[in-house]
This record gives sequence, C-alpha cells and structure tokens, in this order.
Amino acid sequence: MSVASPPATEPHAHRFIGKKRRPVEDRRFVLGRGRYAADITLPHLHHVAIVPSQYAHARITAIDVSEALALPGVLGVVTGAELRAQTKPLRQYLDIPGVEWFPLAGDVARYAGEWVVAIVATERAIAEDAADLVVVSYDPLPAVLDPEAAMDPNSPPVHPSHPSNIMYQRTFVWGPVDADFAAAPRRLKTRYRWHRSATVPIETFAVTASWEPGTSMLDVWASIQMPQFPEQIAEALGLPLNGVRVHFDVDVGGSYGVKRGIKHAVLVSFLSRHFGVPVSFVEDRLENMRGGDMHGPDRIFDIEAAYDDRGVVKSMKIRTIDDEGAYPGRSPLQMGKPVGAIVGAYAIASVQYEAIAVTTNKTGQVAVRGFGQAPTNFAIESTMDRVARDVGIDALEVRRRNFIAPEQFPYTIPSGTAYDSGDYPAVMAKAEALADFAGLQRWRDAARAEGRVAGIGIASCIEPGGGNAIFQALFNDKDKTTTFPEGAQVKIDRTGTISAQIGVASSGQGHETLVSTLLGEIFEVEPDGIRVIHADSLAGLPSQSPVASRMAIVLGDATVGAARRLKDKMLRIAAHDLGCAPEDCEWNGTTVRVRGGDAAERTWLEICRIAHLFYHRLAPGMEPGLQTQFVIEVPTGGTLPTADGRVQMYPCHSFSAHVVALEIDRGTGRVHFHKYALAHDCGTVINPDIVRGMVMGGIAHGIGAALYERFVYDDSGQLITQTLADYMMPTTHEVPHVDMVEHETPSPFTSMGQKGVGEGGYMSTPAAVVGAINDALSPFGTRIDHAPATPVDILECLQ
Amino acid sequence: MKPVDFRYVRPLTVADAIAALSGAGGDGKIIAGGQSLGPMLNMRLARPALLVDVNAIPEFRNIDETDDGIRFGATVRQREAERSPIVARRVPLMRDALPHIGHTQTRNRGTIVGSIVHADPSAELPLVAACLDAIVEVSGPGGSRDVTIANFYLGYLATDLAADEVALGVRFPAPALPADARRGTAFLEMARREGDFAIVAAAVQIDVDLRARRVIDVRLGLTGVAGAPFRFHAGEAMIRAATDPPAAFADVARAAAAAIDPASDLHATAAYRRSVAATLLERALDAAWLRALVADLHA
Amino acid sequence: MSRHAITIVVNGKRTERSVPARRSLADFLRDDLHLTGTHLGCEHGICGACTVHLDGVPVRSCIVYAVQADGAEVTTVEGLSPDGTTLSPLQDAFVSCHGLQCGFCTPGMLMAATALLRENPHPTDAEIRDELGGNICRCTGYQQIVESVQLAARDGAAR
Repeated sequence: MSVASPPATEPHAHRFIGKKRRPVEDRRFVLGRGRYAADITLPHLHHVAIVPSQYAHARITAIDVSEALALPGVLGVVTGAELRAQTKPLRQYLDIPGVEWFPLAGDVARYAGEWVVAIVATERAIAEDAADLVVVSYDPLPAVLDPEAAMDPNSPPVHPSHPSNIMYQRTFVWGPVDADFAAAPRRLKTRYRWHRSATVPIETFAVTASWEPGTSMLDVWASIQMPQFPEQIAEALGLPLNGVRVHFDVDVGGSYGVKRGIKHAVLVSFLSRHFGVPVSFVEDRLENMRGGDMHGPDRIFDIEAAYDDRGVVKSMKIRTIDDEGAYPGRSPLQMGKPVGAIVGAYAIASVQYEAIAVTTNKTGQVAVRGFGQAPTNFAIESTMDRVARDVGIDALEVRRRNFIAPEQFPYTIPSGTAYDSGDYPAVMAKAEALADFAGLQRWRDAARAEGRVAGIGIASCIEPGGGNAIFQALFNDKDKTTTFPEGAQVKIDRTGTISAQIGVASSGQGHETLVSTLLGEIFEVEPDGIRVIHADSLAGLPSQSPVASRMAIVLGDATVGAARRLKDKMLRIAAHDLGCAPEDCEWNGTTVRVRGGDAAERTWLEICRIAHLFYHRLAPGMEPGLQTQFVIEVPTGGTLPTADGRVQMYPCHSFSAHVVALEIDRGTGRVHFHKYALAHDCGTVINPDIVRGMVMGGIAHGIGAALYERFVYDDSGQLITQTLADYMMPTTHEVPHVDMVEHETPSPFTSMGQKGVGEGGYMSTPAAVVGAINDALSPFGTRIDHAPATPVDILECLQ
Repeated sequence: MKPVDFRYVRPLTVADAIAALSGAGGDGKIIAGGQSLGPMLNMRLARPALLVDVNAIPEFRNIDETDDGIRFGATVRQREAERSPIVARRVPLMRDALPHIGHTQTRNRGTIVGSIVHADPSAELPLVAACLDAIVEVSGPGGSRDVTIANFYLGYLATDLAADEVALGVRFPAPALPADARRGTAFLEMARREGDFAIVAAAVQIDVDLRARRVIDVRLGLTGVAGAPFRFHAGEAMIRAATDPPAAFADVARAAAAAIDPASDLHATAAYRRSVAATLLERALDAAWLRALVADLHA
Repeated sequence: MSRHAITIVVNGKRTERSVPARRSLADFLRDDLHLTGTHLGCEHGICGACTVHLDGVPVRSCIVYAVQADGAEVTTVEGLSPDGTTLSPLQDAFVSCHGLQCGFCTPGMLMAATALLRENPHPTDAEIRDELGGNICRCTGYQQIVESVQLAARDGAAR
C-alpha cells in the first residue's frame, strides 16, 4: 500500500540519528570482500571485446569476421545488423522519433570509438585477439564536432532522419523579463564554457547477463546506478518485465551518476540469449573513455543579468547549448533539472531560459553528479561575481544582498519550484567565520603587495534533492510520468531480529547504514543488529534508483513509514495480549506497557513470538508475522508542468557556502590552495561521517572539473584524452584539506527533516575555485570564463 | 586491455639475454621495471613476440661506486637510488630528480637504466643523464660498446640501441670536487599534477670555487622542450664566462627561451613551454647557487 | 600460447599454477586464485587500485606479469587480516574514520598505507599524501583516508 511521506516529527534528541557510527558497508570493503560486477563468476562464463569505429563519421561498407571466428576460443561474433534486427532501439527521452540508438552501429558509425562488432570468447584476452582480426571497411563522411557549428542547418547531419542536429530547443519565460531588463539601471552579458568532463569512477562499467531458457529468465548483474534499468533492458529485448531480474546486491565501484550502461547491458543480454551462455563485459578503460557514452555536460552558457547599482539582480536571461554527442538519450534532460533551481539562492524575480541540445560526432553524454546543476551554478555564480565587481562590492556582499531571506520560506522561484527551507545568510556567516574571511582578505592583500598573485572565491549554491524527474515531462510533453517512488520492506522475525530489503544498488552512499540507523532510531534498538539487504528487481519494490541526492529523503521516509507501521502493529499485538486498548498502552524502549497502570508489559521478544508462533493470542483477523512494505511518492511530486513550463521540481533544498583562497605561481600558472572552508546545510544529518564524505568527495570532483579534467577531441574527431595519464583526476596532492561546519534547517517534507547531500560539493566547487582564480587575476584585468582553468590559461592571463 | 600473446624468458646471464633477444629477430623486448613497457603491452601499442625479463640477472642489480663516478646496473630500482647515500653524495642532481618520477609504486619497480633508455622526452632521468654526460653500456651479438648520452638520444623516443642489444648499465662520471669547491644542484619541474610527466623541467648543477668565487663547472638542461633532453651548452658558457654569475642567470634564462623550439600538445602550448622553461631554469639556477654557497656552512 | 609453471607465495601460502605469459599478476590473483580484492581500474599503471606487495614493496599488479612473480612473495588485501575476519588496526581505522565509500580503491589504498606505516610509523599528513599520491580515489576527496592512516599510526599499527 502506498501512502504519502510520513508526517514530520518534532525535533528531539536522537539516539542514533546524527551520531557517529561506523558505516556497515565499510567492513566488507576493507577486507577486500566487496562483490563488484567483475567479481561475479558463473559456470561457462564468456567474455566480450569490442571492435570500435576508427572514424568520427563513416559509412560502414563491409565487415569481415571470418578470421576472428576461426580463432580457437571464440564462441561467436555479432555485428550491428544482426543485433538491430533482433532488438529494439534504446530509450530516448526527447521526442525525437527517427533518432535511433543501439549498442552497435548499423551502417553508419557516428563517433570514433562507437562499438561496431562484439566478440564473445572464453577469455577476454582471446576476444581481444579476435577483435584485432576483424576487418571493417569505412567510407569516411564529414563530421561535425563543434556544438555551435552543429546548429548551422548546413552542418553534416549526425542523424539524417532528423531535420537538423538540433534535437531540442525551447525558450521558457517566467515573469516580466523584458520589462525588468528595460527598467534595470545596469546589465551585463557573459559567455561561459563548461568543457566536457565527467565524474569517471575508478571502476569501469561491468555487466554480466545470463539467459536461462528453462525459466525464460534473464539474470543481470551490473555496476549500475540508473532509473528503469530493468525496464529498458526488457523493452530492448522484447522480454516481459517480469522476465528480467537485475541483482541489486552488486557493489558498485563509484558512479556519481554515470553508471548507466544500458547499451552494455542490452548487448550482453542479447549475446547471452543468442549464444546460450552467460556473458560478461567489463569495459576496459579505453572502451570506457572513448566509447562508453559516459561523458558529462559539455556546455556553452550565454547569460545576461539585469541589476541595480547595489548589485541586486532583478532578472536573468540564460541561453545554454549542450553538446550531447551522437546519441542524446537522457542527457539533454540535464538542462531541464536545473530549472528547479534556476535562480540559485537568489531572489531574482524573472528568468528567461533557452535550452538547446545538439548532436555532434562524439561519444554520448550521461547523467553526471548534479544532473546539470554544476555547470549551471558555475555560470550563475560567475555572473554574481561579475555583478559584484561592476558595482564595487565583494563577492560575499553581493550574495548577502541577493539571498532569499530566511523568513521568505517556503519560497517559490519564477520557474515554479518552492524551496522548502533554508537560512542562507546564517550558513554563509558560518562559512565566513570558519574561513576567517577578513583574515583571508588581509592575507591576499599582503600577498599582492609583495607582487604575488592571490585570490578569494565564494560560491553559494542550492543542492536540490529528492529526484522528482518531472523534467522528463518538461522537455517532452508526451511523457506524462509523475510517479517517482521509493520503497522499503521491513520484517522482524520470530527471534526478534530485524531485516530490511531495499530495491537499489549502492555505490558508496551508505544506504545500508542509512536504513539501519533509521530503523534503530524508530525501534530503539542497536542499529548494528539490523540487517539490510539489496533485493533484485523482481523481489524489490518500485524504485526511481539512488540518483538526485534522494535516498535519505525517499528511502529514508519509506523506511520510517515501514518501521512505524510495524511498531504500531506490535503495540496492538501487545495491547490485545494484555487485554487492553491500544490507546492505553505505550512503548517504553523496546517494551510495551500499560499506561500509568500496573507493571504489566510485553517485551520485544514476547511480541515477536506471539506474532509468529501463537496465532491464538493474536486479535482476530490479524495477519501473522511482522513484515510490511512501504512505498512513497517523492514528496511534493505528482503534478505535471504548466504550459509555460513551471513545475515543482525537487522537494528539498540543501545549501552550502564555500570560501576558497588560493595563490597562483606567477611563473607557471599553477594553483596552490591556501584555504578551503565551507558551511553546508543538508537538514537533519543522519550519519555525520557519511555526510562529510559526500561533501568532500563532491569537492574533489569539483576541483577536477575546475582545474584538471577535460575530454579533448582533435580536429578529426579522435578523443585524445583516452587514458588516465591524459585525463587528469585529482590525487592526494591536488585536493586540499577542507574545513567544514554544518548547519541544519530541517525540511518540512521529510520525517526527520533530512535533505539530500550527495551532489552539493560538486555543484559549488568549480564556481568557487574559478572565482578565486578570477579574483587573483583581477589586478591584471583578465579573467577566465571556462572550466577547466589550466595553468596554460592562467599564465596567458598573467602575461 | 590484455596484451597480445608473447613468449617469455627470464635468463640468468647477460649472454643468455642477448642470445634470446637476437633469436627473436627484432621482435623481442627487454622488460626490466615494466612501468613504461607494461602499459604499452596492455594497450597493444607494443606487440613483441618475445619478452626477455632481465630482473634475474645478478650483475644488473648493483650500484657501484668508484673514484671516477657511479654506475647503475640495468635493474637498479629508482626507489633504491632515491634512498642510496652513494647517489646523494655522488649524483645529487639525480637525488633531486627522483621524487618527481611517478609515485612510490612506480619507483619501486621502475629502473634508473630503463627510464634513461626508454627516452621519453618529458621524463626526468634522461635529462639528468644528459646533464651529467652519462655513458650507456650496451651489449649485443656484435659485442659491447659504450655510448655517450649525447650520441644515445637520436630523436623522439629513438635511441642508438639496436633491437638486438641490451643496456647493461649506465655510468655517471662524478670526479671528486677540488678542495675549495662546493656543488649545488636543483631540479624543478612543472607538471599538471605531482608525479606526472613534466610539461617542462629544468636541471642545474653548479660547482663553485668558494675561495675564488668562480664557477668551475656548470650543467644546464631542460626536458619537455624537444624530442630529447636539451643540454644548454651555450648557457653554460655564459655562466662560466660571467664575472658575477648570479647576475647572469636572468640572461641565461632568456637565452634558453630563445634557443628552444618546443611543441604544442594536449597539455601545453609551445609559448607556455618556452616561458615556463625560462622561469624554471632561472629559479633552478638561483636555488643551485644558493645550495652551493650554503653547502660551505655545513662543511 | 606460451604457458609457464609458476610458484608464488600469496598471503603466506605457497601456490603452484600454470599461466600464459601475458596474464597480469592482477588477473592471476583475481581469476586464478579467486582473490578478487585486488581491483582493476585502468590497466595502464595510473589509478593504483591494483596495488599489492611484491617481495614486500607496493607495486601496480596490472603491469607486472604473473610469470615475473615466479618465486616471489605477494601480499594482497586479503592478507592484511590475520584470520580473514578480524580487521587489522589499519583496516579498523579506515572503518572508524570512514576512509572509503564505494570501496573500489580501498584495497590499493590499504596496501600503500600498510607499506607507509611499516617504514614511517608516525607520518605527517603531507607524508601520507605523498605516499598515497599514486592511488586515486573518486569518492572521498582523501581527507578521511588521511585521518584513517593517522588514527592507525596513533594506535601503533606499525608492525
């Protein structure tokens, strides 16, 4: 039975929530006993290697697999023609019929690295040997690589079946934008470039599929973080959904959005059914970087701000172009989700937002941590800094003057989302104090007086949480989905031990710890005795998967709802057995006693035994046992967008304020962090170490995007950053020590006041770091409006 | 990413290693540390028919010190050199360079000789070898020969080591300093991250007669600016000729910038390399000079 | 295919197998010995997830071939616990400080940190970051990893 989120409780001293607790998952990982997709072994398991396209755009005229097939150990070879004849295209979220995406190229390869042929062999090394023997003949075609060039109607079409390379273009106008611009004393316009990068986990995508003809069941084990993963496999293979079982008890080696290997999974599932053996594909790093369709947002922003002489911004126009690569998939929606926080933390009255998605001959994009919020915040925060500089105030002050005030909550932004709660000035003040902002200014000014290059950057960003994916409907009015659920199953056995089952795979977010902590809190028992397991997709409940900083919110509340329902049943069992009305009984720790009366009580174990063993002591009609399912819709969800694109996006809004001070080596352009401090507010904290880890990890990703990480293509469309030697991820040396302080403005929409926290660091850090660089460059009259900002860029600005 | 199928031998003598390599008809590769070759094998950029593992040859393992200098056998690990007091004493420039090479795991396996012979134009040890006039000891079916480092590097990743030859070791001449002389060294690198290959690096060794306040010997080099390490002889001459050497350092750096013709690539533009090479060279000169002077206070 | 008989002592146990020359030490540990704690993240010697101890020192097992380890001693993450269940002090410290999230880089981190503490029982934060610079983590931002190693050092984990 599905109900709305359980009602919020009064804040009170928690026993387990908010307390330090060793995360339960950590034990198996430090023992080296995690169970990742590549660790799964099955009898007769075969392995896949891929023959990729060498051209960015080419007609495939012939494929000769004869030598490959003859190699001992090779089970078979599949080309795109065979695969496409027997599967349906992968799901597109935009309304773009005729744009078809399959795991293997058909008669046209659309990017260098696109998968053309799949080899199945007894060992991966042999499959690679066979891949070397496949001969593919190509007729190269002109390629389009620049997103603005792709908007030209004369550019080479990536999908000739579509009218142009523009897959989506819409302008939203919320409020009197033109009038507000006309009336504003000042305006500025800037272009920002967020270059292509991604959160690139250390584990590549891995998937094993096994088709069992005896039961007509497809079993899938994958390194997955994706909504409707079983559904999309079933769709592509023409299987009933109850014939696909995805095992969510696979440990995922990091995802941060990107583990969406739907083409990998469909390919491997097809191969298993086709060849009658279990098949495993573990992407190697080159396959992943070049052809895994796992790049992130690749954006151009043109932003105009209309503001007054005090730096108060009245209106904003944002135009964003996103280079999707060759196959759009879900990625264009990363321009939709930011609509739910399009004014950031600021009381901007009107907004015009134009979103354009284009295809080019590159590998595809995928969801990345923040789902488009990180580049959008980068552009908004950089604009606020420019406004500040123009009116002669500092970066802190401009934000103070523009913040939505604490008394204004819940605050509805022009695009229709209500922010639930927050106190931005208080959080900013905490960050300012922790960073000793005034001290940093003195440090910076003294450094400048010595001829050194130093700067301070600020970012203050909203982190929406909850995962109401109504941006699907916003960008495609044929998509009427409004249900984005999460469920939890809880049971208490006859010996009194508690188990819960969740229908998601975890990639380091600590869901088992989250659920057991909440259950421990509700039941008032030690969480370490509570077992949380991951169901498969058949045994599990409806789930929108652990994306969008949503699990604390929705899985948390589904868990709390289930626990309260069971606790209520236990009370009624005890009351019945004690011969009194439930209203006359109360919990006292783990015991139910009669209120104010004699010492009659029933212990936890007694109640469990009655429930499971002594039917004669149960109230008539009561179900035996203690087990329940609880499914909730994302809070505040359930409404479709209006005709002008206004909608309540996510329910909960976390917030953080970052202060970064850095120095730049004048001779090399190298950045050295002097201080990094932040305050963050994610509502009620459930596990402090997990929260701190999420923030810190997001910051590290953000430093990567700000200074190091970029997927670079050459003029012929070859990815030249294919290895981890060229795609540079921050190590212990590049991520500084970070000082952190918390603030809690509980959400009114969740049972414990908890909000989300998984994405906020990444959404804010690039803006703060590049902002600090720009502050450092300000005496030179230069600035950088792109990410990453490399030493080469910086040195050019200094000389 | 799995390599092609190759045969593998692990000979116990130099003669056996040479015989195995020449028997492979040009299709064999020596593996010592494997830190450069391993990735190439895994990515199938290298496709040898035979891998000759030299890690079991006893005479390759030693660091030998003589009056003339120091010799590294072919399998001496970078980590071992990093910790060696002999290296610190006789080739301090190498001691300065070693921490910049990769990370602990890299240096635990990677070898001094292997890095010099692999000749990556952005690597640290080839630059040290070039600055210190190292000599590569080579042996093959036709016999053994010594190759001075200036003749060893022929261009981008190209060396005077034939496909059937084995590098036995590398000698670094390091004659004793005169009584009043002190040595200062500096190795400065600009890389995107700690441990990465250099975008540019500057190496300086300067021997100063403190009594006469005269430069006796100076070695200047840059890496990352050409297909092979750049030994800046003209700059060395400028310093030897200068009556007040530190006053000449800025000019030397400017001259270096004019003398090099670096390439643009993914990680840096030519202009960046040129500018940073000059900056690092000047800083390295200042640091090495200071160390030479300060060395006296601790003598 | 070139196959070789090798003898390796892995986590104290002497093991004899026949392997193709091209099989990496990492793949040998994972596939032949079913010690899947050692992970592969790049197979070109950058990420450090595959770090094991080879004759006592941390190396990248993706670019060492199993045949090269014939006659050698190898320690993997599975060898850190004295009995496979009890956590070593370093492992315990990582749990205590939550010096991990997804766990994929963790075995490599533990092997690198074990070697560090053995040589330098009381490292500074900078020394810890230096020694772990060859192990990339995408989850934690490293801070809680550094804290974990510090906690282990304080508890006298050096053996």
